[in-house]
Amino acid sequence: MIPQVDSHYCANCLENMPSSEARLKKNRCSSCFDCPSCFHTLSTRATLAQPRPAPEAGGGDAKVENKQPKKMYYLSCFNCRWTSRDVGIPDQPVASGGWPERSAPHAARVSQLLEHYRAVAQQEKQDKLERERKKFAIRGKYITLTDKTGLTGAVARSIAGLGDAGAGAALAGFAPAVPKEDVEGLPEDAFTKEVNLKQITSMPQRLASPEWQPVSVSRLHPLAKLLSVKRSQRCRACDHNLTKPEYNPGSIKFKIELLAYYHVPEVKIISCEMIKPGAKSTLLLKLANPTGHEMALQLLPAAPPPPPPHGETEAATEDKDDSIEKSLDKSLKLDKEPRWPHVEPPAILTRVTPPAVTLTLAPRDDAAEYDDDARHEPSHIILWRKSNKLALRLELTTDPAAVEGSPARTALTVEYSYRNTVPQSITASQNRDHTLYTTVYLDLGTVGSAGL
Amino acid sequence: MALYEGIALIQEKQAVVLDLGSEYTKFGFTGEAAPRCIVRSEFWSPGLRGYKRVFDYKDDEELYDNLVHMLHLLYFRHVLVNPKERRVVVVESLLTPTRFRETLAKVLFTHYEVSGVAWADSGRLCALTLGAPAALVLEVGAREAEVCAVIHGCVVLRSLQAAPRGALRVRTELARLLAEDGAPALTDHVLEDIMVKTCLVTTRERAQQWASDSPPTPAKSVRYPLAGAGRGRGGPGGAVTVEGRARELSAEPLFAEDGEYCSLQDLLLQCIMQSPIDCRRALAENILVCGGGAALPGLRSRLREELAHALTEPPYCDRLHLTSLKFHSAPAHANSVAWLGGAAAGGGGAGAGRRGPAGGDARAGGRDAWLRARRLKDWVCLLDNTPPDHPAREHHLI
Amino acid sequence: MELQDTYYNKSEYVETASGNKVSRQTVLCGSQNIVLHGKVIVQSDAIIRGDLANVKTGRFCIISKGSVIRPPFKKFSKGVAFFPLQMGDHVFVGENAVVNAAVVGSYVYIGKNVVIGRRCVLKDCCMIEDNSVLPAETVVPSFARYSGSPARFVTNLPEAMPDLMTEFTKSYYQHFLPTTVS
Repeated sequence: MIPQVDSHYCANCLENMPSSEARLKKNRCSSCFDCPSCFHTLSTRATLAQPRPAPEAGGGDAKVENKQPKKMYYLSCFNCRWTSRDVGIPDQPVASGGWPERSAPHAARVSQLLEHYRAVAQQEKQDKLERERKKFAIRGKYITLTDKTGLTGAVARSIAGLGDAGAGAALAGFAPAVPKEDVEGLPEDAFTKEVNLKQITSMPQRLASPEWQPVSVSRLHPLAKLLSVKRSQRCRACDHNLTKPEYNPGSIKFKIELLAYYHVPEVKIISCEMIKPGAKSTLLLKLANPTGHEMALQLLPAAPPPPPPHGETEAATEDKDDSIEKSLDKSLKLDKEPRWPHVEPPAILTRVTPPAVTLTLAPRDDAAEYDDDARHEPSHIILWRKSNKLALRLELTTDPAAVEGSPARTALTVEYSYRNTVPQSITASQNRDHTLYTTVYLDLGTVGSAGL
Repeated sequence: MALYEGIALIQEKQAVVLDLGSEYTKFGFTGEAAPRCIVRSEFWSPGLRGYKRVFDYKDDEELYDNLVHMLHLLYFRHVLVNPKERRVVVVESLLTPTRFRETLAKVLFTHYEVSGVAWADSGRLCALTLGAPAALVLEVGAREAEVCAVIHGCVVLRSLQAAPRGALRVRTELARLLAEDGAPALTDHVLEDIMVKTCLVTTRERAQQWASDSPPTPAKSVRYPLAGAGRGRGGPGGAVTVEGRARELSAEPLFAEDGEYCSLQDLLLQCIMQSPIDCRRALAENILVCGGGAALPGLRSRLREELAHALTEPPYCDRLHLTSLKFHSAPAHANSVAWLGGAAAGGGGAGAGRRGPAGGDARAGGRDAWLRARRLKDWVCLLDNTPPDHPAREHHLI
Repeated sequence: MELQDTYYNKSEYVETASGNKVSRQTVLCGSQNIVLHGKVIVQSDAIIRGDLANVKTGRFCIISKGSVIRPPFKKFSKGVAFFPLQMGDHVFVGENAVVNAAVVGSYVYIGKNVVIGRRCVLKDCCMIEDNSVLPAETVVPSFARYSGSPARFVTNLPEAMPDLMTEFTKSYYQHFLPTTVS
């Protein structure tokens, strides 16, 4: 899967921002700010302020113009009680926006540098073109001395360390940095002054604004909130869109949502006896069919999938773990290693004896939720069946060499039929039913002691 | 023809510049004055249910996974662009392990499918930010201090110096000094915070007094409160007292002479000594100190004192006759100087590639080329550093 | 792993016609202001402060033991006002969590011992990890996973989060069974 940036939005005010605008604003929201001290979102507080007369105006000249109190706003953090007044940012008359922006300290010098190197690159390109032109230029009849020795003017100059003669014009305006004899030392009182830890910023606080990296707390400024993105995902193999979220930042719906959850049968552990070295135990598994078609399933011992019959089988390897947490992380795990799959199989000492039956799972039916009777089947394998789910009883054999206390894992391959519902091109007349394989690793707790 | 190329140059999207440090990663766009983000080189690992550092790896595969996660974090949380569309400038040390470079290339080219990656060494990029013809760059990173002489955009490889004298060394020393004073064991993050907030590099004079029998009046001690250690939960009131001695002396290992020429001043002078004789003076007058470790207050003035002193002693006094030492200050904070160089080099087109043979590898390596060769050009490799007219090439020995 | 059956004492819980299962050992203040939209489980020692303002939950919500659901207030120049608290469908509130949010969307997972500050907005499909503290007036966007104190964004949630939460709360409800007196 290739994740892609779909749209930018602010996680706090949930407003979309076109990507061109986002680029201009350096991916930051213009109205939301983060606390520079604890990085929590700042809230705007309102106060009623009496407009103060300007201090220079002198006491007697104070005109009686704005008598009524004006609403003024400042930013405050509810987590650490930092406010924008702490660092001397004046209150603002409007609720959002309008906060002063600072310019980066080295911006001018950096743009100078950039200009210089751009000019250098331009020069280089021109030189190259010229050289090419020279190569094709018709040579005179006479072989000059320089031609003979390969010593052209440019080469001679560069040997002499003069650099390109023509480069001067564009690059003349640039002054290289001037080194200084003395360097700033420690302040005078470094060894005598008390250190007030509350006045010195920590590393994360400094690095939150890379341009300024303030050392003192009084230089902290509110940080504009970093935008978030909605991402869509594409298949690496066929470039098809797998997920595409809706544009609206508050929405959790998707325009396209092709998740494995809807297509791969679900395997869940109901219960398992204690795994003991060298002993047999039973494992209860629940299988569920999430698709809208009947599904035939067969459990096989874990093995690499057999060669595809039509050359179009895909083998998805997937970890299903036994908690909701882990299954949430599933998609992350699938993210990696597209080209060279390296799934080191965990050491498997417990083996499943798979039943040699093909199980059929009914299609998923949302209405079936309401009838509760689970049908018990008179089979030693199938425990019960309920709409698209069924419970299985499997037998496990554990290797006698299994170390007590080590994690007990087992693996089995699930072979299942899958009907492709995505409409294909008309020419694709082959059957839409595929047989797919998935290897499931089951984590069955730890190996218990043999004596138990 | 030239016109079209010019337009293409303008319309091409800004490349991203990646400086993946062992502690902090700097990431941003070319042509900007500062990185968009400086974050710890770590990511949330669901398996560990905690943060995992990129440089904690046992094998290539683990490193590959780490880098995938880290770059995902950088691209989709911080700069919010599609990796595919942009070229990457990777700022790396000349001494980066080949394995790391190759793995990073693999991640960038195959997982993120970037179109081109330019590999540029940090020493030269630092010098680029000055625009001066010659520069002696000392980079004090987290793990290592590296010195390289950069002359007209070329690194004098012969005189490259490196030693494990970085910010981590200061941190370990601080931990040792604190433990001597009876402080409990502290986590790395707390130690780093103490180091950043309280430590300073003392002057040479005071350092000698500390070493002698009559130590000077120490700097004021600091009570550092520990988060989470509430009252009554053991510990001395949930705070550590950082003595003045620890504050002043924790940076001493950077300057300590151990007979192997590994202190910062030795690295610099050794580098000058091994550089061509006609540029030694220029180097000594164009010293640039950068890297996150160089942000410690007082480091540069102490370095200057140490250099001046070392020049009067053997082995330097009779071999180096330098009259003046001059220091540059880069137009960026110490920790992002190399990054800025990358941004300038990438933003100014192939500006870095113009000068000399070492510039050759700074040009962007395309994805196709990498997919064909599956290896990177490397300056140590004979395949790449043998001149084209060398007899070995004719005999197909290479 | 399929959830294990959780058994409860039949005499302890009241089951309503719409399938709500509410323990008798809860504190429901101002019960006329509390709307449980069906198939909601409120476990013992939970507190819902309906006396302050309306509390509305969607379907298939699970309010675990010892949790507190409390409408948020806002200070004005003329005193304090309480705002109603809305909760979407398929929300899980962990044990001993305190929820002061203004809005809790659907498919939200709130871990154990979480404190959600007043007037927070939790959008649909988000997850607050155990032992986190969300400061007041935080907005948690969709598909975000927050952790720590103060809680901060850690990582994204998978796109299948709505289905996973539906599955989780439904099966929780199905496995929340009365003890069969044998």
